[in-house]
Amino acid sequence: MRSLALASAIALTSCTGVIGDGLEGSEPAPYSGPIFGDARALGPSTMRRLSRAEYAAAVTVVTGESPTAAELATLPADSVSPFDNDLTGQAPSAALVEAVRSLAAAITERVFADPGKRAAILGCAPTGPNDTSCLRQFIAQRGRLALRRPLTSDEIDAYAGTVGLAMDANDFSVAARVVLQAFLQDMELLYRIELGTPTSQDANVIALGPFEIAARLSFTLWGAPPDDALLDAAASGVLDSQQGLRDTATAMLGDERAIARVSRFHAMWLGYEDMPHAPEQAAVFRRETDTLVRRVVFDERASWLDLFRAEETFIDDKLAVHYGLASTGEAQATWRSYEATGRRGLLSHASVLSNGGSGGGDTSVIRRGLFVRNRLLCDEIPPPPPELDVNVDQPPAPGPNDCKQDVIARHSTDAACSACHALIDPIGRGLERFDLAGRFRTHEPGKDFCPLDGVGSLDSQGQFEGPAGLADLLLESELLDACVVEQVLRFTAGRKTMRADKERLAETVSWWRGAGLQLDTLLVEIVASPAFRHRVIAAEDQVWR
Amino acid sequence: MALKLARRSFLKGIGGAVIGLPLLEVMVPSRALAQTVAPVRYVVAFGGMSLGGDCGVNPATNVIPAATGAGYQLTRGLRALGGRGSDATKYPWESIKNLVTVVSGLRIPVETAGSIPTGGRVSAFHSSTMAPLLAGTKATQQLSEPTAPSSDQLAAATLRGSSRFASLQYRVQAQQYHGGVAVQSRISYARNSSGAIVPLDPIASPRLAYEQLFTDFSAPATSDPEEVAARRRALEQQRSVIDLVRGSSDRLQSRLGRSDRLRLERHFDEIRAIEQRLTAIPSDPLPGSVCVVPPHPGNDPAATYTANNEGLIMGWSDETRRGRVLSDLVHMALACDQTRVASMMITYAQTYMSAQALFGARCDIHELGHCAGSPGQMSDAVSWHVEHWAYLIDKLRGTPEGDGTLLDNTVLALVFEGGSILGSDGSHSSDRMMALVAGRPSKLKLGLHVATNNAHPASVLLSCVRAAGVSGPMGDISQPLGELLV
Repeated sequence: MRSLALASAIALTSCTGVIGDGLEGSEPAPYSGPIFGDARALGPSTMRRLSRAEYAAAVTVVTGESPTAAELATLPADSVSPFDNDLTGQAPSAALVEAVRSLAAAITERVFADPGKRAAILGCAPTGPNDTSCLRQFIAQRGRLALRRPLTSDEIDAYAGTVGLAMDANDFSVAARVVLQAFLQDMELLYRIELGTPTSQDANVIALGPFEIAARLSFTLWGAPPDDALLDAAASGVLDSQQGLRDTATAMLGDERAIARVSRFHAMWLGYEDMPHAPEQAAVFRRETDTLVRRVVFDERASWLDLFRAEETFIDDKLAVHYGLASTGEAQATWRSYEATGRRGLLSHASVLSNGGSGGGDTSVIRRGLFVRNRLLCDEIPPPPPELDVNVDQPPAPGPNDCKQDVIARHSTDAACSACHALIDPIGRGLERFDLAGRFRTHEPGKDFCPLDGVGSLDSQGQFEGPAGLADLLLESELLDACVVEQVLRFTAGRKTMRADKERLAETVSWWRGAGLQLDTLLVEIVASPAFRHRVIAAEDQVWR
Repeated sequence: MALKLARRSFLKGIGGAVIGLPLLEVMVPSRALAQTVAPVRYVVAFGGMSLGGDCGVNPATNVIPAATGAGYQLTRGLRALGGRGSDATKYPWESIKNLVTVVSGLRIPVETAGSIPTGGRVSAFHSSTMAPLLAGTKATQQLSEPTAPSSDQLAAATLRGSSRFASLQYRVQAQQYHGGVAVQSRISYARNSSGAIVPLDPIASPRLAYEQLFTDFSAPATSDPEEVAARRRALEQQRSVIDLVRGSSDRLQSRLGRSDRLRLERHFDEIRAIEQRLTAIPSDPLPGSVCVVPPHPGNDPAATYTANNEGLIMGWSDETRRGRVLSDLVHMALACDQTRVASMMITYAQTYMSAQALFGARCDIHELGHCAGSPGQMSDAVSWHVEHWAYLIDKLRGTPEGDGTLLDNTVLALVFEGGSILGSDGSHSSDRMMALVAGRPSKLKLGLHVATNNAHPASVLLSCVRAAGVSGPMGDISQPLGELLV
């Protein structure tokens, strides 16, 4: 079915867009590994501010204490793109600097108020306020976790100058508290700064040092900074070899942090990190999808496409009834077959179906279609051209006696509309029998005179009914795996895909298909590639603002 | 931590009382003593909603006064200006109507045939009014950010003088509750040293805003030598923390390339600003000062979620209380000459904040504009925004300064994201927009309803900036609205 991809590529020439970056045309260097052999292959990058979640993880790694939700809420909000780490939205501000200053003080106070935590973070028992040796040990140990690299002896000296404060107050912990507060608001903690060393081949390509590689690894695979073990690995030279990186990454993927990271990746990508449902209900929906992701990616290490093929799902009795299955009276959640409910894989989950709301509580055929198009097919559909004078956030609303379909009839009759809407509306239409909570229905809410046939189509591929039918067509289209590769790279790089990335993308997808489409394999090979060990400095400062 | 210790002992000293607050003598810079001319201040506030809505919600009946000129009648949307006379429980202040000018009939022009007029926007509404409204620059896309400084930053460049903060940015609405688009979350934009326009994220945590302003100060004078020594140590420790952070950032800065250095410029600046604030804490008491420490606001109100008419979730974090605390902080920051410029984003653009706690509507404010509530509720939401602004004006009016009040030396404006089309599809419109202005009566004509014929709303902010003594154009807009200026 590659013809579809080609046909749709042609059809979409006036209806898609990628960001040009002027970096096309670099020649790949000889490399024997599967992907990203060229040091420049991951494209330009710049320093990135930690997202709220990453900052929370960093605080936890350094102090053993986690910020509360209220404390995290004082940090500037992440800009959602749909990932929380878009580097174009990470400008420094007074709000950030003040928030981390306050957070650093609060966390430090909590840690030192608890004798057990205090002893744990100090790592040595001070003999008195002037115990410089214990202080230096504390600085070296916590400083390495905070700055994600060993401190130089000059740096340790600078921090150890606080011993005077401890002696003045006759309290050793004063020095440690001052140091810890400083670490928790250090710019090297707050930003992922990669200095590296310039390579001989290209002044704009820098080779990362082992600790910078360790940080890339852990933020990519765990969404968290390196822990002591990973920093030890970096120090010992393990990350200098490709095999060492591969082994380390494989081990890291066995960690709960990796499972949480992969779960969150899917949730942000597929729009269920922030569902329009009550928190308790959203948690139930979320658990269903998380469980499937974990099973396919980690437990079975199956083809990632199995997420769309699963014939059973992990639900409790209440959710089963909600989906139209018979009640079994079973209290605990179990794997249940979808039976003949027209469902298959995660497209049938209430979590994913919560996307594409009209804003008025019901589904929007257009927004559902755009969701599938943008997120699952990685097609960027531009807004209507200005000359059409269409206000996209004010679609015409059906009157009390109209049906939804009536008001968008023009989309199929007017050629100016149908050029793009033919790519959007038919997809949304095929999901119309499933509401925003994933329940089955046959009519518009409150309008018995508006039946929903739930029949849609995907481009030239033919008709489908409901999530199961859409999953079949998407699988046939062979676009899903290409799209997830693009999204993984986007999440890894913290930026949108650029034109130059597209070529690598095609190579990567083709390799991944041959390798069995396991998500962990893709992740391991990305982080083990030469490109992952380099940073390309963007030619244009303004690209990132 | 040390500073909290200082604050606690301070609060203990006043018995935790909310009224009868002592002077915060230390907060008044000694230079203020020598000042004969009071500094000029500027405050811009923003409400992320339109005035009218779909289903025939007409602002002409509920928001915009019917008559023009002096002595206009208050509408449902403006009733907070009436204070006690409108609702003694909700608005416990004397009417400020005669101190406020309502400017109506404003319009941000919209693209025609693919061409965007000066100061105009693309046809898609959310959030294309932000750049034209706040900075007078074109929005070439829905999510365009300003390409020139916003009015507050234009003012900050001129007005700062010797105040501690060049400007403050606050947001009352805690979070957007659905998704989060950067351009909807902030209203202040400044020019950096390389000429680029950079966003200034607002502080949305009242606790954090309080601590930024007040915890770097020592408590009032005490004769207890132990207390004195403890405070000295606490301050020294705070300075040491910043010294270490500064030292580390200096080392980093020297290793960065140009592009990275520019990207982090503001962060370096902010660290140095904190350092300066900690080294320049004045300690001379100033009897009779109007500068007092408001009570610590405590922890930020937490988010609560309820279901709307459609069973979908909407959120609320007691924004009414947040607005009061932040207004109090703006008031004191101005009174103490900590800053002369503030921006107060009351709600996010396209605000999804729940309207249930405001007046029982089971929808968010954005949905109110789309037929989810009654026509009157739309103007009640407008009034809720006006209420925060009126509260601040009343505070400024009650604060003596020189021969007059703080309000005499402060220019204030309140603008809204959208206006209204008359008819059935009204809320996504930049026609019939409204702005409120107040303060500095020596420069502004107040107590009027000025109905303009499609004047640009940025020209109102430009008038306000001019009234504050600041020159220059605002983005594409170079002409202030003559009717507003004395």
